[in-house]
Amino acid sequence: MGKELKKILYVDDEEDIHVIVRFCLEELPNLELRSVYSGEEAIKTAIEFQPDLILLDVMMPNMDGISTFQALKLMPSFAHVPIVFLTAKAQKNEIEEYFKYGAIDVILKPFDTNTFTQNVQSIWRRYQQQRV
Amino acid sequence: MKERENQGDIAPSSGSEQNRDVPVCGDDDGLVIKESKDSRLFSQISSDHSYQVFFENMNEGAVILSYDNRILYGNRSFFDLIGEPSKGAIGKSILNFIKEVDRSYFIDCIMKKKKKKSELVVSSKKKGDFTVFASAFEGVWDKSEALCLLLTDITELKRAQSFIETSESVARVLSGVSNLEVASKSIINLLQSHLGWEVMIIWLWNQERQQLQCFEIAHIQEMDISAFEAATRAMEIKAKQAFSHVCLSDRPVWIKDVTEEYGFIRRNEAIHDGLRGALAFPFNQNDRFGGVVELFRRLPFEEKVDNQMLEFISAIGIALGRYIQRLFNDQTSQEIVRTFTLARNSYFTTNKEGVILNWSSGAERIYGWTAKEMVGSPAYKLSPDKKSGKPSLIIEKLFSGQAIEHVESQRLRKDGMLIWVKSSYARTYDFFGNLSGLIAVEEEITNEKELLDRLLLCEVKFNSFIEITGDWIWELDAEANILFSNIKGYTILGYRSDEIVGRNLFDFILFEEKEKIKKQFEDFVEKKEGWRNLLIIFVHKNGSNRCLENNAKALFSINGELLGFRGASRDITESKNLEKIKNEFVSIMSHELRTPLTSICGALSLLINREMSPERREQLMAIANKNSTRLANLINDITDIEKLKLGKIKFDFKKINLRDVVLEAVLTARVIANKTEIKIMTVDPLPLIEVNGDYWRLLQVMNNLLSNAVKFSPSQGSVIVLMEIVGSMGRVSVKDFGPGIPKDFQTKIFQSFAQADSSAKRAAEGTGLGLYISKYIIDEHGGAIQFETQEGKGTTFSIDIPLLPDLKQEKGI
Repeated sequence: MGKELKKILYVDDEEDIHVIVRFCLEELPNLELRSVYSGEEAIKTAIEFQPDLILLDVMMPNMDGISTFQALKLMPSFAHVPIVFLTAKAQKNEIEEYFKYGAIDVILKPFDTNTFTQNVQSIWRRYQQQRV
Repeated sequence: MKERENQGDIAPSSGSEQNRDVPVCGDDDGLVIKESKDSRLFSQISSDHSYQVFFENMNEGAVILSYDNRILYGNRSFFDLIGEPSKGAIGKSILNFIKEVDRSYFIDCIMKKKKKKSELVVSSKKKGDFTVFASAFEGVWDKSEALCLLLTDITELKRAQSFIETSESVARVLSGVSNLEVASKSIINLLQSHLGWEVMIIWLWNQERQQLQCFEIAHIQEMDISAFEAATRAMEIKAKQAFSHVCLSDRPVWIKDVTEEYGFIRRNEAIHDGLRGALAFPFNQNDRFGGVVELFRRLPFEEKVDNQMLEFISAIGIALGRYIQRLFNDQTSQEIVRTFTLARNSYFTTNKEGVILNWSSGAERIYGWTAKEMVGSPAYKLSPDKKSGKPSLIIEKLFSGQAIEHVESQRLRKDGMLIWVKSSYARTYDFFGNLSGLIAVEEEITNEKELLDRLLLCEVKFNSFIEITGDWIWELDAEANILFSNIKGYTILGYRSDEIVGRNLFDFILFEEKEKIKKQFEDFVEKKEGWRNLLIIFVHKNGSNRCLENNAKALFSINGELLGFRGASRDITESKNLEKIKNEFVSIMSHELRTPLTSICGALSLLINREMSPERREQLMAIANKNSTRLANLINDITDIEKLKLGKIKFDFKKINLRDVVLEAVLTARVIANKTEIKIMTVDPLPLIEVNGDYWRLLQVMNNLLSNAVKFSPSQGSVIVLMEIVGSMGRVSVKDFGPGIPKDFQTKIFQSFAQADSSAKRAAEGTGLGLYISKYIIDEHGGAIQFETQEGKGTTFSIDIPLLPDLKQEKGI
């Protein structure tokens, strides 16, 4: 068994979707979810929060998801933190690009609220297995 | 001719008659001629006898002979002939004075048979041998029968006769023989037998080169003059100098012995071949100098050259001149006739006046006129414009020395059809080098012309296709050197064709692409095949990159060798950009649709599937509701754009008050603004500005500007609306105190999905289509939309709409 998923940092400028995601992840009682609304905020919070996994939106004002991803990967303490893109920018070539950058997975918007939590967990587990 | 019957016996006869007593006649002996019934009788007469006077005054030599050949009496002329004084001769046998070969003939035919008339060769001590004409009369001398001979010197006559006979023989030979070599051999044999000449050389005058050329050398059979002949033939160039005296004087020249003549050029060869006597005389053709005949022989030339000789030479010269001219004409005409018959092309000749003299079967075939119809006709009969007199112009040109070759012109056929011919003309000369007319060689090129015309038409078509096409058409060799480039090379790459042709294709390819494309090109060369839809980035002369889609076909030689490639390149830079824009648009649109849908789906799904508090339920329902509206707005905007793009939105232009539009928009905006405690203020009093406009569309613009201003204003901030007239425009400005528009975003602000451009930055919620639509609406009103912004301080958007004309008047505009 791998490490239990305890802390998720969720970055998205869409407040309504934050509400949906939080609602979904409430299924996991041990999980601590931290919501931030911009890339700049994400970087600041990540240092203090030390998440196990980051859910990252792509299309955000000023610092978009890709820039945030790259900035996080440049920080030694976060280089290993798995990042999952949660985005509505879901063209085939765009998805390929996310993986190329090093995302461990991509969840497309709109997502199914019934399976969202399981989906996040299985991504986490697969990641854990791959690390082993 | 004299008869020779007994040449063997030449000794003087010593028969019984010789012993008869014959009185010795002295100078003072008289001669009496008595006429008898049948014959004349001679008798010794006194010196004063009239007959003696008669004999003594005769020009002929008179001698009275006894029948044993003794000379009984001779007059002065006789003794002059034999070159002996009378004293030494009287009583002697006449045979002493007759050439040996004629002696027996004399005895047998004259003395015995009493032949009346005959020729004899007399040997004179003074003059040598010469021919006399002898007439014999029987008579009585001193009571004995005697014979009287009257002798006339016919040497000159004989010589003249020989000349005439030779001339006649020569003329006969020349008239019967058409081969100069054979004729020359016959002539030299005649000249040899009559006059002793053994070698004849005929020189012809070449008018064009102004020199004499050795034409024929003939000699009698038993001679070997190879050295002399070789020297003669080698002399052609210098010949004129050698004969200058002949050419200039028009008179014969002779050399007694060329071996003693140090100035004679061929002296050494003459010594070698044993030639000595020489005679040269000119001959004419058509009254002009035509050439020189040289005669040589092994004996020195010692004959007297008198009028007879000159006349003879002249006769030979005339005969030869005519013969050679005829021969040449015959040969030329034979050649021409042969060529005429063989040739596919048309040949015809004309005289100086342009009258046709010869008409070939080829000409007959091309023109349809027969030789019978054309010979004697003017050549301009063939010209479509008969009045132009073109053939005479041609003759004029030709005679002035201009060359006329491969001239293409239209001609008239017998059946009235116009044909095209390619003609070359040459001057014709007579044998003496005088211009006599022209020869035309013509080839019919009507078919070729038509083909060429068609080909030219094809080429014109092909060229226009090449020029019309939007593609860059080119040709490369196997090393990618550019051999051809159409004008589109300039449009696409900015280089003129002459700047492109001769350079290598890779000179124009983007540096980063070169290696990759080079490898591909080498591959195509190796496989000997072209390519399809190959994308290559080229660099325009102005430095910009152009994306070209390339297609090419391999070109091969007849032996299958790869020559290069021919192809076309299409500039797809714009369509690539458009594709990129389209992809971005689809991506953004998809994102913009998915985002509110995520909230709607998520909220509804949770509402259905989860137990939750009423507060939470309310919150989720609000989320679903809000995002539904957002989605609907987006779809409306997209529909609007589609309609705008397709021109489906019809504007309802009428006289409206811009203030009404502004007031209604402000009222609507205040409802939203109140939620965030943002104040929307108007700068009162708002002026009445009448414009020709679509009320609802302008309201849409105002709503958009105000909602943007509210959206970007901080909480409790304010938005100011101002109306004014600027020039001929009515202006409405909406000012906010928000963050301002980032610099790199300013240029894109009126583009579709401007908020969410490719850099994936969202300024605020909204469809990102509002300003794009607004600009379109204002443009349709003939107005303008613009903004001023300062980062951190705010933005002012303003729209200008043209004032109504009467309002302009009121304002004095």
